[in-house]
Amino acid sequence: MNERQYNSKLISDKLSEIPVPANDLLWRKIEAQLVAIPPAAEQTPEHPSLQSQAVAKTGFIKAAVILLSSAIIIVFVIWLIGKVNHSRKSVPARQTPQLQITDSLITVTPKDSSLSQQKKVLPSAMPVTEQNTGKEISDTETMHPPLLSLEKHTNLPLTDSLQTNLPGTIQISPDSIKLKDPVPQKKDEDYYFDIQKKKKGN
Amino acid sequence: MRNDIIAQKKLYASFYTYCVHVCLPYTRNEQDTDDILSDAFIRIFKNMHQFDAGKGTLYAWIKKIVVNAALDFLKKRSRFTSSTLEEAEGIVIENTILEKLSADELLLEIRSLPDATQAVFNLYCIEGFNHREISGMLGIKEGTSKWHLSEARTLLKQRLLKYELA
Repeated sequence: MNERQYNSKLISDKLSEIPVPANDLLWRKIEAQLVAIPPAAEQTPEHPSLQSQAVAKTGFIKAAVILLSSAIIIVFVIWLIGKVNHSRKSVPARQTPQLQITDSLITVTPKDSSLSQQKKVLPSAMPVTEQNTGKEISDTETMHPPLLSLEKHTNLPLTDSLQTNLPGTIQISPDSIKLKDPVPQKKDEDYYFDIQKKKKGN
Repeated sequence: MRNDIIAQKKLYASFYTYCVHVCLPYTRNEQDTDDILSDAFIRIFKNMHQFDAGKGTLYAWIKKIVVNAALDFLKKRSRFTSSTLEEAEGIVIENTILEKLSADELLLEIRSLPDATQAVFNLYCIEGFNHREISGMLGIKEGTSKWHLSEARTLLKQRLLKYELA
């Protein structure tokens, strides 16, 4: 025991020599406060060690529940992000418009020069009939007339390229198509001669 | 114990004197003592189920409750703010002076100190706490605790001088 502890003990021992009379008035005051406390507010007495164990157990369960719910939320968010990215990749690229040759755009120039005019082929608008039989083709056939009828009307030699594999479409080879007569381009030399002619004329 | 009024009265009767001696250095009169003990015994009866005999004696457990009740009482009555000190010498009342002093005189000298200084003196010299513990209990800085102890040393030195000379 050091000096400080010894001094402390001396002071305590000195103070404990003070006589203290009984104080029943104080007990009545305390008793009134104890009675005023409602029984429902008091907890059932438990062994301190058991109570601490129960508190620790409850705290552990709470922590486990919080961790589990956090993990579920994180997994859900990751899944959602992955789904969004996948949907972006799966969207097909914008397709470039392909040239679709419809019947109304086709102008076929025959190889045979006997035909002076280009005839527009509108098989879907033409009533297709067989010349020999005069049989009227049904409406369904007018939508997709056979090439045989086409040949009869235009005397076009049917080539492989003009045979349709699918109704309503025509495959056209470059040889049989002449969309437009080329405009003869003036060469630079022609321009030169024109200028010379004009000068001579002046 | 909590609901048994007879047992509570027996406990009160057994420990009343002990609790008064613990409480006296923190009070200035009997009314203060009664107020502190009333609060302390209510806390004892309410928290009796928390007492663990394996951790300490019942006397030590009750003493702790009474000291805390006394400190709460002092904190309500006065503010514990003042100057601070980096270092402070300890207080040791000479044994020769203590021998000359009666219990009532000693109590009178302790009660002559200001509230905050009195609390720091009691916790340091009687209960044996250090300045770090005292600062936590009173809610003050450690330097403030040291200043109060130095102040108590100065005041008591002057007041106890007459006993030394006698």
